[in-house]
Amino acid sequence: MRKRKSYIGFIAPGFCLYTLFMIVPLFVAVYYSFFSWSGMGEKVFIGLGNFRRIFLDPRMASIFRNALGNNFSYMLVALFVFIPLQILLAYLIHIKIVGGRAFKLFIFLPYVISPSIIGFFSLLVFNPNIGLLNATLQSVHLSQFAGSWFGDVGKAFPLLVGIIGWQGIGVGMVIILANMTDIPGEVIEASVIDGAGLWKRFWFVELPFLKPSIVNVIVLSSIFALTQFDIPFIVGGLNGGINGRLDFLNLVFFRYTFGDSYNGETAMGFGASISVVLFLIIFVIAMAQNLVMKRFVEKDGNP
Amino acid sequence: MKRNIVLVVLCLFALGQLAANGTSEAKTTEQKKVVLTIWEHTPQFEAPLVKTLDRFMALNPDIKVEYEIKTPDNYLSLLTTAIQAGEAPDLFWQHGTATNDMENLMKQGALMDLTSYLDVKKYSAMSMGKVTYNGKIYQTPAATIDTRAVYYNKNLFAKMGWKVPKNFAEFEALLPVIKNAGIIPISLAGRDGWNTLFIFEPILAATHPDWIQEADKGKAKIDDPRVIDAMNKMIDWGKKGYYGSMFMGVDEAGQYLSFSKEQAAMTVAGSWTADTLSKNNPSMSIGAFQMPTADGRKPIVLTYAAGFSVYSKTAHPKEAVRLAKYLTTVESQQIWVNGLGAISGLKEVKSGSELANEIADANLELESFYNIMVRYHSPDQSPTKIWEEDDTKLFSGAVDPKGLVSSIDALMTYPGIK
Repeated sequence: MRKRKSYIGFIAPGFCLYTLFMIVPLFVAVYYSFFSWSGMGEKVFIGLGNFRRIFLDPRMASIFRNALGNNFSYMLVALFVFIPLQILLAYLIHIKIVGGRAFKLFIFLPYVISPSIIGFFSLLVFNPNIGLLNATLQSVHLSQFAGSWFGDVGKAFPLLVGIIGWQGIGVGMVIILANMTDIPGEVIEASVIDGAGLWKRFWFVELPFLKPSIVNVIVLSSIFALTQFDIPFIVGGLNGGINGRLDFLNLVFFRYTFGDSYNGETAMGFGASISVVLFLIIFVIAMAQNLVMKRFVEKDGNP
Repeated sequence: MKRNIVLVVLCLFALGQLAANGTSEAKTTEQKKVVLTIWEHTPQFEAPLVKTLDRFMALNPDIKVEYEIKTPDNYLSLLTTAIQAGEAPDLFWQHGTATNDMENLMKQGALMDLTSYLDVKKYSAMSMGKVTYNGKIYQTPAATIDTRAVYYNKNLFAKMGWKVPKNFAEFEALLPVIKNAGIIPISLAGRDGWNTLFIFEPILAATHPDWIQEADKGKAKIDDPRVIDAMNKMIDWGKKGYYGSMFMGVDEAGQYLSFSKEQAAMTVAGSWTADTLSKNNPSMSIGAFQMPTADGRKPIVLTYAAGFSVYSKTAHPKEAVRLAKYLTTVESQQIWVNGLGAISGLKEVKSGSELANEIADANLELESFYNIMVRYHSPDQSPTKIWEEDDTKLFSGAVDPKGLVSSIDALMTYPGIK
């Protein structure tokens, strides 16, 4: 009897800490979302008033839709551009291209730099007046290509996505690469003996083995895309950059919840409602992805 | 031999005791001191704050004041969280009535009523209006006037033969001349809301001072054609490249650096940046003037700075009030004005900087556009929030002046208009 319950001792510390710091705050946020509350003093119960404001107030709904659209746009780029690129880069390193180790180091290196530093360097490079990029273009007589970068409605978003991708692409690549190195050597050898070329070997033999890591990278990338904050905040400011092109849901949450010396208001209740909606969106997407991927893996058989 | 060793040991022991006594006495004195904590919201005010506190501690040896400098981006959230947790600093800076901060903090009971403690006879009504709510003083007043100014590179102006404009037409005529010389006329951070406000207010003051005077009394609406006209002027200058062709991507640091690197001949910014601009560019001769009106008057958009509030639940109310009292004295204000190179709003306090005197060279005092929005907002409405989120969109065309002022107007109440 004693032996059978010993697992409780192992689970309890983690369970208690997780409940205290993750589950309880979640329910507290849901509770606050029904109140009008600046963060101090009396809370006024307003039922679904905060949620109505998010979805039905014309101004707020437009801000929310725009930010959510930016989150989804970034997520689509992550899923359909970054992940294929991560697989390709992992494969190039796996087949030991010349300089592969240095290549791996250079791709992974930006990830160990803090996003705040990346954002700061981005400003130094892309500042239209004093930035390195425009200065370089002007010095080589290519000033016609100089731009306002983050101040350009058309360029701001792709540029931001490029910077975030440059910083984070190494993580997924390393996860996929670790999976690649686990593929049994005899399977590869058999495919070579059967006459499979590089492409066929990758597509029909190696790629199916990578499903577990790709599924993980898809889920992680989606959550990462929906929780963007640091770099957009630094390069675009709290109001979400030019015309809100760099506005993300986390920025909207921060702007309305905490304010700053310019956006001089705090609204914890309303902020909580934004965070609840954001949580539900992430939860639904992550669950849907898990369900689809699980079926996909089970259907083809998990090698 | 043994006796000698014992003597040496005894001497060492005695010396040790003496040293220990000395240290413990010092520790006791240190322990007796009441430690106060004060928060300031921007590094720009660190230098004057340090000098002021040093003087206060010299005068009050029983009090030690520790200061913390925050950044504007997260100041309000930090302060709110600290108050909510019951761990707010003994004294803290806040915006006063310039924003809704004081009203919110006062309603939450976070501010000590300082009315009976502070001697504020020397301060003007405008200065006291910044720190008073419902007839009670919740913050130390400040002698420094916050305004906006056109800073210019004197050497560059002299070299190119440009003159400081005497009226608005001259100012506007100067802009294409500077641009045609391959220099950005006005360095501006088109990305940042505050900087957009700080150029809009002088343009509004120069083009339609009459609107500000009427709106100050609640007798003119925000969606007045004169406000729209000033906005269009600001936008038009952007379209003509007077802020540089790529100003929409420039942030506040980029605005100042562009001016420092002599890429721009002028920049429009707050008076509190004067000291930073001067110190960071010791080789540059920086001048300042107020954007003139069509008839040559020099309007100045005045907003008095605000000082520090005392936390209502401070563990050391007597000492905190002593510091608040000191911060209200002429001596303290003089230290602050000197440390910041600021403009003085008290006749007893002299501005020590030539640049500050140039900024203050004006003959028409006007209220801030932003303050008018704060003062006449409808109950539980925040028109400034709309301005804050949308002002930079005026340049990109995502928002047009008429639409913006209509949205703001919907959240205003004008006591002078039936």
